[in-house]
Amino acid sequence: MKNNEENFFLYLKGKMNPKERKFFEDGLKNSEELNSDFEEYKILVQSINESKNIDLNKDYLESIVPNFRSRLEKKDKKKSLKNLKYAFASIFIIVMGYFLILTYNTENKQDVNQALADLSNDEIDLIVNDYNVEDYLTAYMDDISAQKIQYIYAEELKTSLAESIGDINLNEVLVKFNITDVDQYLSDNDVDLIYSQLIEKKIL
Amino acid sequence: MQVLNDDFELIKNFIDGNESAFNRLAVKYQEKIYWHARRMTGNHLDADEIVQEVLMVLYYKLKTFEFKSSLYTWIYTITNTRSINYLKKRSLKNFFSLDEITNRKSDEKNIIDHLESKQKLEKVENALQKLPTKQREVFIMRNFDELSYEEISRITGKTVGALKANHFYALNKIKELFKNEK
Repeated sequence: MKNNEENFFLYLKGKMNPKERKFFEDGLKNSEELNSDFEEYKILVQSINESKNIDLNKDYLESIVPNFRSRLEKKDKKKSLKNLKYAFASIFIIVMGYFLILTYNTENKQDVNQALADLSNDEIDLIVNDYNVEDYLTAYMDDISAQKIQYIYAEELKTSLAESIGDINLNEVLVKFNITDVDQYLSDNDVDLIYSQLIEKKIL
Repeated sequence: MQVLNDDFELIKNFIDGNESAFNRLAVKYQEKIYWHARRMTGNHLDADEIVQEVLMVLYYKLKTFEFKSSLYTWIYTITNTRSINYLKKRSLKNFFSLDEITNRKSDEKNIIDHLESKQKLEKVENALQKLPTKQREVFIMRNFDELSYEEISRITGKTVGALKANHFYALNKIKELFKNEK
């Protein structure tokens, strides 16, 4: 079947000029097939036009915009609620995180302090004596670090001696006694204590 | 030109914060939106839902409208797109539940007052629903909205040739359906 729809459409809508209209009408007169197709098309257009002119219920039409406004309001509320939920969740996470970290750090310190508080002075001395700091440290450090500690130890000892000797010329003492030999006049415990204090002060 | 000025004024007033200007635009175009959605989807409930969706889109996007086309063309394009999306969603739903189609028909409110009008509408709707979406789309735009192929091409993004071909097949099918109903 030829596509005469374009002509049918233009003719029925009155969009043909007089010349085109005449040509089309002559064609209808001369062709039964074209005429038959055109009649079928007109029936279809009539049905379409009838369905186009149907009126909607007035109540329904009047309800469309109010219904839209109500949906808009619900949507805005949902949006604010969502934002609020996110805000609360974020604050909750931050606060919980802060408390967790705080509790963890506090507990650790408290544990250590609590443990030490439970021990007597003799027990603490025992632990320190059993724990040979010098040997432990020198076993786990390289030569350069060991020399560094040795130097700092000597310097600290010199300062301490100067303070305790007072007016006596420290240099005379240092010349007479090799500073490192002072070790032999100190107990092993004293040496370990000095080492650990030096490390705490200077190294860590 | 008057229509353009009216639409322009309403949009401008809405952008300036006048909510009632939007309501007036909505009332002006709501029937056109409804009927296009109704013809595409074939039932009132879906058409009503699409009307609400289109109004929501307009509400948020009207500020971006640049008057490159008429407001009606822009609204029509949005309605058409939403209708096609709805049909895609519906065919997925129907795949899983066949009850969906019959339920939507029986739930229809009495939004058309006269029985004769309802029957005429039903006849056309039944025929339209038997067309594939692409053919239905061009058939509705050509015969119900009386758009030219060039206008339909701008709205759908399809070539005039493709539209004419789709319309040709749609027309033949609809004529056949109407003949069989007699």
